[in-house]
Amino acid sequence: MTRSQVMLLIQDAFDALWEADLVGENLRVDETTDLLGPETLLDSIAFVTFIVECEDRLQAAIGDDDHFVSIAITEIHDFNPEEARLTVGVLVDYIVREHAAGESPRD
Amino acid sequence: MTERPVMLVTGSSRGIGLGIAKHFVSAGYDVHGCSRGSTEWESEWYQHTVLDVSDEQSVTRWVRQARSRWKRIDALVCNAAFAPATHPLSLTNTDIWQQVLRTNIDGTFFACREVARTMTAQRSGRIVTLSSMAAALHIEGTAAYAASKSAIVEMTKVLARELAPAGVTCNVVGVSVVMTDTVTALGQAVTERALERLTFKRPLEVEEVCHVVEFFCSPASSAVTGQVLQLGLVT
Repeated sequence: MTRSQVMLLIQDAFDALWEADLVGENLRVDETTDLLGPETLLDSIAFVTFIVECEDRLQAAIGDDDHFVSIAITEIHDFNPEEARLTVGVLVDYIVREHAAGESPRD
Repeated sequence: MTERPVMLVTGSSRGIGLGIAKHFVSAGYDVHGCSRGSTEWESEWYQHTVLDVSDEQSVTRWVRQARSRWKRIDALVCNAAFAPATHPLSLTNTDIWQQVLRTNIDGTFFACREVARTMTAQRSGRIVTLSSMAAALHIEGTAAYAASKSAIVEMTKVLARELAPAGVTCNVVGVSVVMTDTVTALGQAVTERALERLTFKRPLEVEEVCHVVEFFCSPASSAVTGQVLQLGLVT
């Protein structure tokens, strides 16, 4: 998948959070949007929901029922758990890299 | 999509797990079970997958397939467990120790983690785990099994706090003696010693376990979470 495809997928996931009333504003995401950290709009429930929404959309995009997509935060290379901050750009890098490699993070 | 509530049950080829699968199919659920062995029981509303719950990939795939097929998961019952013959801790083999922890703790963790993600996203759900009288009574010879069942209780209580904002409840059924193949294989002397420790000094019927699981899965228990309901025993 390309970066722009993944960005669209992430925007769709954010739109789903808005429709489910899990975030307070209908945000237009960019690479600097915080997913984790002091500036994020997502609480823990919204963040887990966001990850599941992304996984489901990735799964549908890949269209392979034998290859289950999992996003594992601890395996995102550029995510520093000591800062506990994750941006959309870092997540996009991770997803593009994993799918360019043709493998799920847990495979 | 199905109109029937969707339940996942681990360890459903025999014993308590099979009883739970049958009970909830009769109660109107679509049930998806799993176990290391196949099952001879068939129902239009039951689907079985052969897997080992200690295998992370297999459990993840099982839950994802259910989510993909039914678009939701209403209830999870973590029943699969390995109960070895009783040994004093000082004589417990490391392989047995690890097998108990892998099946009972890892297996419960893998299923709960994957289902919790789905239930968080759908903002509803019921998780029921099964513990044991061994965890409450500290019975000699059950160190590995009792430790694993105590871990399940603690894991369930923490998960109950984490999932409460999503409207998901997590509770534990503390099972005492049920005359399953596993318990029968432990021998009459072991069974009699266990019964002697109980408040009700008789084996439980599988249906008695099912009724408690059904309560935890019902709308009637929407304010009940993080609880352990011990059967046949005052703790």
